[in-house]
Parts: sequence; C-alpha cells; structure tokens
Amino acid sequence: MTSQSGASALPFQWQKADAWSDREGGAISVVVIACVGILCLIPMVQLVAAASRVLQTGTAEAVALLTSAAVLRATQNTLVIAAGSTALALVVGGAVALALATMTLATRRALAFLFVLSLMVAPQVSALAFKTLAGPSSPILNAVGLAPPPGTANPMLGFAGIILVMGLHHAPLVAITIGSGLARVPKMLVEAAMLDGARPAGVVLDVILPVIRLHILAAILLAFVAGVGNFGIPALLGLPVGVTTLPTMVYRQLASFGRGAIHDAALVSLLIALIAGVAVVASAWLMSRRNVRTDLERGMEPFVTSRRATLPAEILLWLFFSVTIVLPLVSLVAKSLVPAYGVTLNWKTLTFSQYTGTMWEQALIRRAFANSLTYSGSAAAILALLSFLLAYCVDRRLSWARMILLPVVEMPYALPGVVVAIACILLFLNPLPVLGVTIYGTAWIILFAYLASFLAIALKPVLAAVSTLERDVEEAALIDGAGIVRRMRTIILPLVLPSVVAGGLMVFLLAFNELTISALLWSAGTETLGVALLNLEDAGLGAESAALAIVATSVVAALMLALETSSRLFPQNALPWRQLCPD
Amino acid sequence: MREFLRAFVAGAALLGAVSGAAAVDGTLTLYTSQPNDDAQKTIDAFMAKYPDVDVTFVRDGTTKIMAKLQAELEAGASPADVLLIADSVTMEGMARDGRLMAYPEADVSAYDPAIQDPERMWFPTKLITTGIVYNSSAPMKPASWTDLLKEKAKGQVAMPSPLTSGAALIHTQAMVGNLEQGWGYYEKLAENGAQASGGNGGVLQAVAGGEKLYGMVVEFLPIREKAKGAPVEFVFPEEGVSAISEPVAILANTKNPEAAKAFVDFLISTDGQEMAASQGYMPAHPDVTPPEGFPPLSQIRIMPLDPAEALSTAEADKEKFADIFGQN
Repeated sequence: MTSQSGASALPFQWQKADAWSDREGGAISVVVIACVGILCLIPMVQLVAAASRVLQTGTAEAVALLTSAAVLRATQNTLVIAAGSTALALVVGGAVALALATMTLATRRALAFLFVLSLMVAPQVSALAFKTLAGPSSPILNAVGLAPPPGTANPMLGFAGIILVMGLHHAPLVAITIGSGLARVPKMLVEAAMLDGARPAGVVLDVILPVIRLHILAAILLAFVAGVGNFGIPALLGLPVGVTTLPTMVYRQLASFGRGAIHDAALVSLLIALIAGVAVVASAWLMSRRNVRTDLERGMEPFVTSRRATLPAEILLWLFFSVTIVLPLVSLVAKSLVPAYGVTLNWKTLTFSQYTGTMWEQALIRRAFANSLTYSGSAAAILALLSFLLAYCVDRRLSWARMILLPVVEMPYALPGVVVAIACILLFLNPLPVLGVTIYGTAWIILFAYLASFLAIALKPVLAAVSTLERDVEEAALIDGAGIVRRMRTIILPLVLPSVVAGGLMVFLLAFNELTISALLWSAGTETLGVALLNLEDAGLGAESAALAIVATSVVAALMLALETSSRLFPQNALPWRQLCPD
Repeated sequence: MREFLRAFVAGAALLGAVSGAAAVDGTLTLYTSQPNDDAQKTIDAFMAKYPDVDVTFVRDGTTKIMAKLQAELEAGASPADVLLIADSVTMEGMARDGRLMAYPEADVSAYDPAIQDPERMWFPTKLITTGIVYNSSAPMKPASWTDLLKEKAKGQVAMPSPLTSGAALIHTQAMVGNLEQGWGYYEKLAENGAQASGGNGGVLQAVAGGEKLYGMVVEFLPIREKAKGAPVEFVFPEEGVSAISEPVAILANTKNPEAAKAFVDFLISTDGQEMAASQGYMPAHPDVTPPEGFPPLSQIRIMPLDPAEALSTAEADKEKFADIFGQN
C-alpha cells in the first residue's frame, strides 16, 4: 500500500493529474493539519510551557510541591492502584480473550458483547454499582441474608475495592488488545502443532502465547495507563476514605481552591502525563516492532471443540460475568427503586418515583441530559467529518506527515483526561488573542476537550477503511475531470461511510457518560451527566444517583445493542466487541 | 388646561409603564449549596410569583461553589447574581472583599439581630443545626457529643470535612469554642477512628447505608430521610448544636439587581419562610412554625459563634483540622 513505489508505474496522465490534485487538495490538507495542531498539539504544548514556567520561576516551591507528602502519597497510591488493577485486568481479560478465541462457545457473541458493555459502562457507574452491591444495605446481599451487619465498613471503599473494580473495568481493554493479537495468529501454526499431537493447553502455552507476547505487553501498558488516569473509580471509592490518587488530587485541588490552584494542578498533571507517557511511548515502540505481517495467512479459529472442555468454560464465564457485571448493575437498579437510601427493597417500599418524579423535576438533571446529548452528539458529528478528511489526507496527500500527525492525534487520547482538561484550562484561562473572547467557563471548552480527546477514536476505523480502498475508481473519476470535493463526496465517502459512522458513534458512546474532563471544566449550566451523578452522591441523594446512573447506562446499552443488531452494516473491527469475537 | 391634564395623565402612565418595566423580569443566576431538589423547589416557588424572571441555578458544596465563583469573579466573567450558601462566615469574607451589594431596604425587622448582618449585605434564610445522626440499628443511642468518643463508637463515626463543607467549618469552630476540651475533643475523635471527608450528604449515606453507625450531620437531611423511611434517627446533643443561617446575598456585579432584590425579599418573607419549613427546614422567622420532627426553636440550645472572629481563624482552623485527621 505504499504510494511511492506504485507511482512510477502509473500512466503519464495520472502523474500529471496527481501533481495537479496535490495543489487542489492543498486547502483541505491545510485545514486538517491546522485542526490537528489546534486540538491536539497546542493544549499539550501549553501545559508543558506552563509547568516549566512554574518550575523556573518558583523552582523551590515547585520542587517542594512535587516532593510534598501529599503528592508523594498520591503518586504511590496511583502506582499501586494502576499496577494492581493491571494485574487483575490481565488475568481476567487474558483468560476471556483466550477462551473466546480458542473455544467453540455457543454464546461467544453474547459473552463478548456483555464483556465490552461492562467497559462502556462509565467507571463512576461501575464504582457506584459495586459499592451498592457490597455494603451493609446491599439489596442483593440482604435478599439472601448475606449482608454484613450494620456498622461494617463497605469493603469496596479503599485500595482493595478500587483495584478490584478498576481491574474488572479494564479487563475488556486487555481482552480486546490480546484478542486482536490472537486473531492474527496464523491458523497454520496451530494446525501444525495439533497435527504434531500437541494438546490444546500445550498449543496455547508453546505456540500462541509466544506469538502474541507483544500484544500482551501492549495490553499491560494500556491497562496501566488507563489505571493511572482513571478518575471516576478512585473518586467514588477512594475520596470518602481519604485515599487520593493523582487525578483525584488534581480534582480536589481545583474544586476547593479554584483558579489559584491551577499552576499546582499543571505541575501535578505533568507528573501524571510523565507516568502515563512512559507507558504510552513503550507501547508505541512495541507496536512499531510488531511488523510480522500475517495478512496472507488465515487467522486462528477456535480449535477446542470438545463439549467436555467448552461447556464448563461457558458456564464459568457466565457465572463470572453474572457476579462481576450483572449483579452490581442489578443492585444499582434495586437501590434506585426505594424512596430513600437505606430503605430495604420489598413490595411495600418499591417505588418508581426516582424515575418518574424526583429526577425529572430537577432542572439540573434535565439540563445534564440535554448537555451530555449535545456535547457528545456535536463531538461525534464534528469528529466524523474531521476524521474523514484527515484519513483521506493522511492516506493520499500527507503520507510524509503521517508519522508526525498520527502520534499527535493519539497524544490527548492516550493521556489521562485530567491532563487534557488541565491543558484546556491553561489554554483558555485568558481571553483568546486577537478575538478577545474567552471560552473558559462555557460549553465550548468542554466540546474542545472532547474533540481533542476522542479524535483518535473516530479516526481509527476511517483510516483503516481509506487505506484499503482501491485507487482505480478515483483514478477513473479524476481522468473524467471530477474535482477533489466531488470525488470525495461521490466516491470515497460512500465507500467509507460505515466506518465514519462507526467512529462517530464510538465517540458518542464514550463522551455521553464522560466524567473526568467535565468534572474539571463544568460551569454554570454546562453540567454533564457525570457531573450530575457526582453532585447527587455528594448531596446524599443515593437513590436518585442510582436512578440517574441506570438511565445513563441504559442509553449506552441501547445504542450498543442497536449497533450490534445492525453490525452487518459496519466493517469488521469497527465495533470493539466484534474485535473480541470476529466472524 | 384639558391638554395639560391629558399630557399629565399620559406622562404619569408612561412613567408607570417605565418603572413597571424596570421592575422584575429577565434572567437570574443563583449559586447555591442547597441540595438540588431544594434549590429547584426554591426557584420554582419564586418563579411562580415572578413569572417574568427566568432563574437558573448552579449547585455544589459551599467550598467548591465558592472556589468556582472566586475564579469566575477574578476572570471578570461570573454569571452569578445571587448567592445562597451555608454560612455567614463565607459571606463575611465576600462582604470584606467588596463582592456583595448592600440591600438596606430589606425587611428583616422580625428576625433575631443575632443572626443578622448590621450592614445588610446578607440575610438569614433558615436555621440549620448540626447534631448527631445514628443508624436505627446502632447499639448505643447517643445523647451527648462525648458519646461519640466511647468504645462503642470506635471506627463508627462519620463527619463532614471543613475543607469541603461550610457548615462543617462553622460546626468545628463552634464545637472547639464551646466544648470544654476544645481541639482535644477532635483529637480524641480521630484517635477513636472517626472518619472525616466530603460533605454532609456523604455522612448521611454512610449512616443510612449502615456503613457507619454514627455521624455528625446537619439536621434536615436525616429528619427528612427518616420521614421517607430511611433507618436513621437524629438527636440534638445536650451540650448544644452549632447553627448556620444559610444566608442569601446579592453579588455586587449583578446584572439584574431588581430581580435579585425580589429573590431576597421572597426568601425572607413569611411565604418564603413557610416554603423553607415545608421543605423540612427550621425557618429563621420566629413566627413561622417549624416542620414536623423538629422541636420548637426555643428548645434548641445553640452554641454561640462570632462570624467575624470565625472568619479570621478559618484558614488556621482548617489546617488544624486537616492535621488532626491526616488530610491533605
């Protein structure tokens, strides 16, 4: 797919036209490069500049802050939690990915879907669900008489709980990464080993694992970065018992001390970025080494077919998912059906008032719904368009810039949301030069941060689709004199539209329940669903917050289901749970 | 003469129309630490009376909402017109910084001078006291603050942090100033494993959910939740309770002073006070009957506190508290 090598073989007319279209596509390329620069590069540069200014002008204070007991403790907590949750995510995600890839499970599609759904459930909702499940007033445990007696601390609060919930939450991430490696293990390798009489366990250990070792490493790094940056889980399970991580610390600093704390927050954010950045760079390096092309060979297919092995595995997986995904969500539903938190759920206390009245009567909640819909919808639409243009330009015109543009796009996505949010605050704290207006404290700053954060998500499927397009059709249209805009509209776009839509919808799914960015950027009237949930919890309205969490999660689940039922329309790998379980 | 009269009448009518138009309409933004549903009911009731005013509100804990407001004021771009927060100490600070607008015409003649600002910068809207909440299944029924130091309460006490909650700061200051042991009381609480974090809402959830058996909390939360069936009880301890007046104030840079004044008038009127009572709060107006579950105002013993002095020691007190409870 290298354009340079093919160029000399092309007819004269194409070469001439190519040169002409380089100029013709120039405007689009400039726009695309400008967008990437403004959205993804400038905020990061601003963050680094601000932090280094603080380091230079107040070196002693900056060093004192970074080595203060509070920051050291938060750093240690962050590392422990990230490492612990990564270990758990690796075990769970790796096992699930292996089972789905090697075994002929009758319900593998449903299992993959449920597993990825647990990733798409917002982290703060997961945390709330587990907290509800395990405490003395747990509706589920009380129903079976297993609830701990009153006066027992909630086991989910503190380190163990954070690591457990985060590990389970990030397990699907690990599974998707390992799964994409497994799908590329050549079928021939496995068949050869089986012919040699290797047992399935031997095949996994001796053949498969060595082939996918880079994917495993990449999955570990991914889970680690996600763990370093996660905000919702330590906010709900750590802050109440005084366990702070770096992201929750930045949040608390800003929330309690306002703009005065922004420079301290910038320094701490840079520390977060540093920790996450090491892992990101390592993982990028690993990925660049993974050049063992296996395109021509057929990928691995499930080879463990004996019912004696697959049936127990299937039952075990369903049991495990019931306990770790279904039960917490069910207890959250139960919590939302009582008139006040702490009331035992039974037929007499059952009420839908949280759904019918309490939540709806509050303008704040209604506004949060409208806001989250608007922000995530706009981000999805804008990013769908931008990623289409960007993918086309990167593939056809800016191949020289590919190695620069793509990492820049990845940067804000790979870095924790807290870092992006702080970078945006720094960028927009003062009125914009020339224009003299400020978007600080408005909805625009949230939208901007969403665009920066999620561009990589929208771009991924589109880039994959564009780079597999044959050039013949466009070539023919070009010779017919069709301009670039017309070619993009009538030829390219229809061909890659499913990928564009899939990318946009993924952005919508992620942004709809997002909390980390909006927790730092919200202002009067720009509350998101995540912020509203945190606020209800804070105000002591447990039943209401449970109801809100359920409604928000239902929206995401419904959209995921809609995507799944129409998955034929989308290219393979555009939907993450399909990646875990390809056709 | 008739011409003159006609002109006079027309002029008077015009004047009336002009002053009428300048009266109460437009938009109003309220920054508040009230729980969401109360804030909503408050503005709903106000808008029922003044349908031409469109009120929006922003809610967060007092400390957080103040951080947001301060940041916006420094940036010169705050939409806030009216501030309704937990405590008068924070209001004192705002008044000192020149952020508030005086409203000398406000009718507060019926109110106790002890809970008022002589400068008429802020006005009390209710009385919120902090006492002890306990889970109905708790083995001990606490009656005094010192009961929380007992072995039975070891590791079982939850309390809001003054770093988050304005009410908690005043409560701490009132306790330190009025209890014999002063800060020693809090040191013993910490030794007994009391947990201090977040706001009053978190304390209520911990006690209602049975994760902790006892808590220090503002009275209206447990009294209201108990009425809905939650397994919690509230006691006014024998040494007394701390009290805040949830003051309302108009921001100096309000763009709609008329509507802001109307909002203040509404909150301190008997109608507004009855609404507060109907929401389950102790009204600050002596003539309005407290809601069910509350003892009469005269029977509650309030630990005294001087707002100006409390303001001057606020930062040191917060640090002292953070020190004792190991917070950063």
